[in-house]
Amino acid sequence: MTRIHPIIVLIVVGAIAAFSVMRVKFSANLFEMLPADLPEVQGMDRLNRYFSRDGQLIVTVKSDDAASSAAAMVSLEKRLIEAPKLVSDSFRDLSLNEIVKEGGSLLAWLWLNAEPSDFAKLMDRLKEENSTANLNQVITNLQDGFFDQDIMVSTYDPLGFSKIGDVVGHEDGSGPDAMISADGTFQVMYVEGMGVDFSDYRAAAKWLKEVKAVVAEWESEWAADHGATSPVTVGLTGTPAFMAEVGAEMEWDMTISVISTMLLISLLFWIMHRKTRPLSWLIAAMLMILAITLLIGGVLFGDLSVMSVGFAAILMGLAVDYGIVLYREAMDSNGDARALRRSVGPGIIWGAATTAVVFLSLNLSSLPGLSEMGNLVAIGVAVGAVVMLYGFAPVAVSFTRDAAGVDREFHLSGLGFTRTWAKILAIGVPIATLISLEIKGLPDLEANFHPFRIRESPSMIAWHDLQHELRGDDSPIPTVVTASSLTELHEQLAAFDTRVKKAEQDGLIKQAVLPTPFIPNPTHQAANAATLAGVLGQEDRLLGEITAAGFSEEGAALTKEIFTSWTGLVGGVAEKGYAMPTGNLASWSVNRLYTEGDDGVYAALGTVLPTHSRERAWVEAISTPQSVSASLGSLGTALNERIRQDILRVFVPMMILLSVMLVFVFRNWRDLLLSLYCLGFSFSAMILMTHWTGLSWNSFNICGLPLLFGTGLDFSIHMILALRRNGGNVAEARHGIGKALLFCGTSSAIGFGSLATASAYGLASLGLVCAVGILLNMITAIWLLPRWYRWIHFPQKIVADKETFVTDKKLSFR
Amino acid sequence: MRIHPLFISCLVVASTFLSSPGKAVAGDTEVVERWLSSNGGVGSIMIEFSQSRSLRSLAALSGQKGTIWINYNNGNFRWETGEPAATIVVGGGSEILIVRPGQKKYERRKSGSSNSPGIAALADGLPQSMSQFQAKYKLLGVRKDGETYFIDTEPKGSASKEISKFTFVIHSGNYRLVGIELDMQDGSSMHTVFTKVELDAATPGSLFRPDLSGYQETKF
Repeated sequence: MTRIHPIIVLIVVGAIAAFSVMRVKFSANLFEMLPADLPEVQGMDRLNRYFSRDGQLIVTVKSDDAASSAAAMVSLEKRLIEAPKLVSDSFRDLSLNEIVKEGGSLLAWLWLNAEPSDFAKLMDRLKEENSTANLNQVITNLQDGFFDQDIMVSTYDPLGFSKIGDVVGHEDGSGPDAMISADGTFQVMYVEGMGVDFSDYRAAAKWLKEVKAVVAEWESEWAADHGATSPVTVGLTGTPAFMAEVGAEMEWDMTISVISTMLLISLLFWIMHRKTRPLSWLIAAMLMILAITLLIGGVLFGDLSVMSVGFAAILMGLAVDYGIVLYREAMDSNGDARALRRSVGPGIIWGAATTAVVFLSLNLSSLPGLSEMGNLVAIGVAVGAVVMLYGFAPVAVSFTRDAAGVDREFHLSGLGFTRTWAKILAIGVPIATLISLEIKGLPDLEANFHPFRIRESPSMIAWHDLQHELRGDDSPIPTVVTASSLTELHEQLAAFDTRVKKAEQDGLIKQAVLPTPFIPNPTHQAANAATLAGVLGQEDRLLGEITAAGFSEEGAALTKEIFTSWTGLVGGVAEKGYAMPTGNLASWSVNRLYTEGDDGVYAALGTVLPTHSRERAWVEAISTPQSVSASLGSLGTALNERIRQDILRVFVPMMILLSVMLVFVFRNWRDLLLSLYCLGFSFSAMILMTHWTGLSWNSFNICGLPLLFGTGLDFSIHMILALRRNGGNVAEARHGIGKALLFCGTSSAIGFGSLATASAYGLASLGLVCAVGILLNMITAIWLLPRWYRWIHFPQKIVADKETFVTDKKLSFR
Repeated sequence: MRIHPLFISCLVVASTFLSSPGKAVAGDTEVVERWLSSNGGVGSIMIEFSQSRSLRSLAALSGQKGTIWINYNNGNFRWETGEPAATIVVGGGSEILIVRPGQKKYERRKSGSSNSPGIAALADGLPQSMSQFQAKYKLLGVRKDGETYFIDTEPKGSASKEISKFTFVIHSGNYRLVGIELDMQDGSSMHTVFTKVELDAATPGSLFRPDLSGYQETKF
């Protein structure tokens, strides 16, 4: 094996690892990583499943004045529609002309679906004895000249079909306009993409790139034509944009974290050991571990979530520890791989076992994404231990010490903390922590923290701009009501309405809007269709009256369209029991609020405006398994509550399990207590840092605590076993296992620290906290633990280690 | 002196270019400023008008005469058409009151809930400074025809919906507003001529509080 040049091995193994990474499929569905039993998570999942259209891009245009925004939007829409095989349809704020042309079928359907009592009022207006008088009233209103929006609409709707405010629940016609801001300067267009499989984020990314190119070209032309007089800003958001960005960010994060970790670890190895051949073999081993773990992970879990992106870097940082321990100890193995495995194998195996147990304990966490990451790392460390012990060990024994090499190696300078300082810190740090806790209290979790929010995402920025422009500070929260049949859906909506009204009375909710008028109602439609049958024959009379009153053909067009639509709809009711709206605008408008899912679920989309969105009282008041709100505000609160429960549920069993394992590892109560004390010491230091620096805890990085405890135990196990082997010789232990732990700790910190630049907030904060924690564990294990070990095992032998330090040239220190 | 036809052509082209809407030039702003300054210091105004409408949805032209009172001090307005008044609209606070004396009915609407193009936009009052003007309108350009300036604008905000052009017609001698022209997106238009303008007209409080005794509230 050692006759093969390491570069060749590196290239072959690197290619295998690269292939494994490229084969990884990422799931951009962020909700799979959150606790599925939380109503907020269910709300987000159902909103995504039933109402999020994978291929629907939201295009926003912002300008200084309404006219420019409107003109720009029309122009941009034309350009996008003309782009070959990119966009199949588009929907934006319509002009009166366009509403007249396309709104008739929607109005016809809404009336057919309305309460029979409301429909009867419309029919009453159309009766021969009333219609002429109503038309004359409209003409009178027009004569007044006080032209407002209502008068404008009535010029094209003389019979008042558009007076449907009572039917759809907006009595005064007010309510947020979904496509245009109040001042008209911000406009929204929904664009239906085509030509790609939008469930594949890579395909979505490619499509989005083409759309961005078309938009960029249009922006240049618009700027050239309009100059500085009408500058416009275009934003792109919606599902395809999110998918493309999240997926691309995940790929980038994984690539960068793995590459940066590998490079930094390699640099660290070079600084400490000044050798390239062992480094090459070590990198090859790490890549092999990554490839095997990805293979197993892909078979077991299928698509990897955004959190699992972090596993690779973490694994690199942990697996290299075993290789370094083997490399350091191999120097004294006399070329016998078996002897090496006997010597350090137990430490590596116990270390891997404790680390795996810690990561597997994340399965008790409420966050499925964290569980998946923990499982992958657990698999990875097990694979890592095996690969290092049986793959790298035989190679490691071939690297023998040479004098020049020793001279070039990095040396730990000094003995670190003096005995006195070790004692002071052993007592002082915990006391300082207690005082700090008294002053500042227990560190709490950040409120309103969303672990999977992607930072610096253009599509997320555009989405926030859209919410702010259209809804201001009050953002209604989407609420999904589901049922197994249409009849049940109406029952669920009615029940939801009752709960909401109660919540309004209790001050928990300011306002709620239900889509009931847009949900097909077979009962209403059957009753109204029967009434309509007698009116359909009156079309010619009504059109004649409209003309006689003084309206033109354009003024009668909407009425004609409505009667045509009604004829079709009545046929649909007779055939299928209920009719769905026809026409692009009508279908699109209804589909935004009602769907019949492929899974047989009927879903309706409403909105709720809570008084205090971050609190959970309103969620508990209105939610049932069939009606859930996609509330980000209260999700943060819910996650914090859940994580606090998890700390007890995960942490306590884990500590018990680890303590039991430590009994078998040490078989000595002093060493057991010393190991646990080191953990407590590091934790105290973390609390101090949380209190007095910018470091903070949140619902995600708090899950790193078990990881820190596991890796901290790992370091203490290695150091204590080494001290046992050499009879408590601090200098020898520090030169041998200490250097290994220095490398291990730093490399693990690098692995976690590389996540601090990840695009997901949660992953970035987890990486930072774990990097800091591991460094604290390392400093404790290398520079404090040996002193404490001697303090408790050899309290009288305070001179011996100094003599060993002076006389042993092999262990000379600068 | 004989003038070369090419020179005249150039002048015509130049004047067309200079007066074309969509590109406001320095001289245009001066006209606007002079008009705005004529509005300054006015506490109230009464305008009698005659309006003609060409609406695409109607087969024939229509017209109406009316009066509008605006009190700048308290922000109230009253609009009245017909003789006797067929429709009265008063407003200035959080709601608009529409009264039809002939039907003995009235409707209350939230102010701003229905966008008001055309003459109804004046219910907010005429701008009295360039900053007020620029807040509400985008100046497209100024044309001159005889003794009249036409200040072409695009209303800003929600008032611009369906309106392609809103024109203030100004007398070039005294820079007083003499009319308004409205062009709509659908091709409809409204021309309003002020037959009488009275500055600092009497606007007693009762003008803006019509007696609703015996009237029924409704939705028109």
